[in-house]
Amino acid sequence: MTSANSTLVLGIESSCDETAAAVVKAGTEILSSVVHSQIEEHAEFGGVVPELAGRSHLSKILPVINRALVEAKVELDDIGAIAVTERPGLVGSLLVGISAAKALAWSRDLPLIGVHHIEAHAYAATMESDDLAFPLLALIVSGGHTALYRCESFHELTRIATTLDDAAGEAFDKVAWLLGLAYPGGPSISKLARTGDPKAFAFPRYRPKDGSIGFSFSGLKTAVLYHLRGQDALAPTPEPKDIERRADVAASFEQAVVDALVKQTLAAAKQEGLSTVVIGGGVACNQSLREHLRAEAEAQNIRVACPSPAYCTDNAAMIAGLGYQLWRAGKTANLELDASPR
Amino acid sequence: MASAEALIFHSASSEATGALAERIGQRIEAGTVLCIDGDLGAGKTLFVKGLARGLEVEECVDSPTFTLMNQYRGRLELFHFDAWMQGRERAFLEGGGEEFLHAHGVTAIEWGGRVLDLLPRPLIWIEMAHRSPTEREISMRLVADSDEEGRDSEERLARLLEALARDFIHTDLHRQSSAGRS
Repeated sequence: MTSANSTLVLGIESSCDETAAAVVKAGTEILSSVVHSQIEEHAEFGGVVPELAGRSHLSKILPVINRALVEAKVELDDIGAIAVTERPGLVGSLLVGISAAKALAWSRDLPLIGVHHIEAHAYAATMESDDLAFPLLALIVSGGHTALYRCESFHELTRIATTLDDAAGEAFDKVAWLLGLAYPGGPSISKLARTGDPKAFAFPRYRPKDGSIGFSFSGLKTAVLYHLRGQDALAPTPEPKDIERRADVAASFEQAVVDALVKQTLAAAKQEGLSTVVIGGGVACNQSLREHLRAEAEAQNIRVACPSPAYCTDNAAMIAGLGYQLWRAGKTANLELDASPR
Repeated sequence: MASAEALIFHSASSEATGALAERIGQRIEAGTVLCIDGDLGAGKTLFVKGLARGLEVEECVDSPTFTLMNQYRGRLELFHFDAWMQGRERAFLEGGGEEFLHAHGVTAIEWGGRVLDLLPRPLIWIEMAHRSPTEREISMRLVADSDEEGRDSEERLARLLEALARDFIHTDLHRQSSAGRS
């Protein structure tokens, strides 16, 4: 195969803590997807290591790209275009991926495509279910984002609602910290929650007062804090080992997050008249969220598509996949492509 | 000139906290750094939302815990940092993010105490504490180095705190003023 008629796209992602590269054929066939995560580095040092983000991407980006090519059993000569996350994210981190992508595109004279990270998360669900029809609703829920989008096509997204304060993943991280559980908080809380009773404690589920659609997780986080302090604001926060019924707290908290996400998502689907919902982002791996959303949506004849967990969290396959669609639509970038935090 | 009065406010509700922060946003001058500390749920993000309203920021201000810094356009530019993940925030500040601390805007840093050594002086130290599920105690003080160079900005910050004390002295928000050294 020559690169002139190749449908292979090399995707590169470095917007947050993951350095990732992937080779995807014709937008949906994932030949390789390599993710190097700094989560272990965070966990090992309890989130207090001063050598993260940009510098880590810098040392990992070329080995990760090489591995993506090797695992896909292709050479750089076989690649037809380079797609890279341009926004949103940490600019210093984004620039590492963008610089690598520009160097490859320039030296090989390949088309360069800038991809919006959030749009790629919404695209991820469609990669594994090729019969999804637009328009559809996307719930993107992670440590940094909790928002609903109306998607007219792969790259025409309108935000319907977003969190007023904390993202759902951030609430998981902070409550995990209160409970003495490891970072990232989502998987740790879910694991403990399995042995707890989700109805043990009635934590609040945020609903906008005016009946509109929206999210807020700050009040829930504070409600858990007050619960741990025995509803006494002046009491010290107990040490994790002294917390009673920790599994019940974890299960009840997780249920409150899930209920809020499911309720607002289905309300948005109804408001927008959409019968397909896709989810993406790290919190979309949450088993309880997937089960409850599916069950409640089906009761309203709404279809839910969830990507495999590996394509919910940050990855480059979704970047390569959406990059292919943008390339076909003629939406390529030039070497002036720049990173943007938003 | 490092001595400073601590201004203490007693807020009975999130609305009162927001109103106090909004007034700061109206009065604050370019180049001011606010370091905001306090427990989870003490209202730090809520405080910055109020500050943003006072700065005439129209966008919705949300938590920058993950993004490390959000930037908003208003009467003055607002740079909203969060050092909860202090390792990531340190890497960010040391890797170039620090320039925003010196940009000609207003800087608010949640969990700022965790990266205090990286923050420029003078700054206003704001501490928020739970007093009941709805009530908060909010104390503010000037933190400065003792060198001559920062004298102008130090006086500017002292004037801001004095003006706030005047604004709220006859309201329920204002509790007392106690001498303290920083």
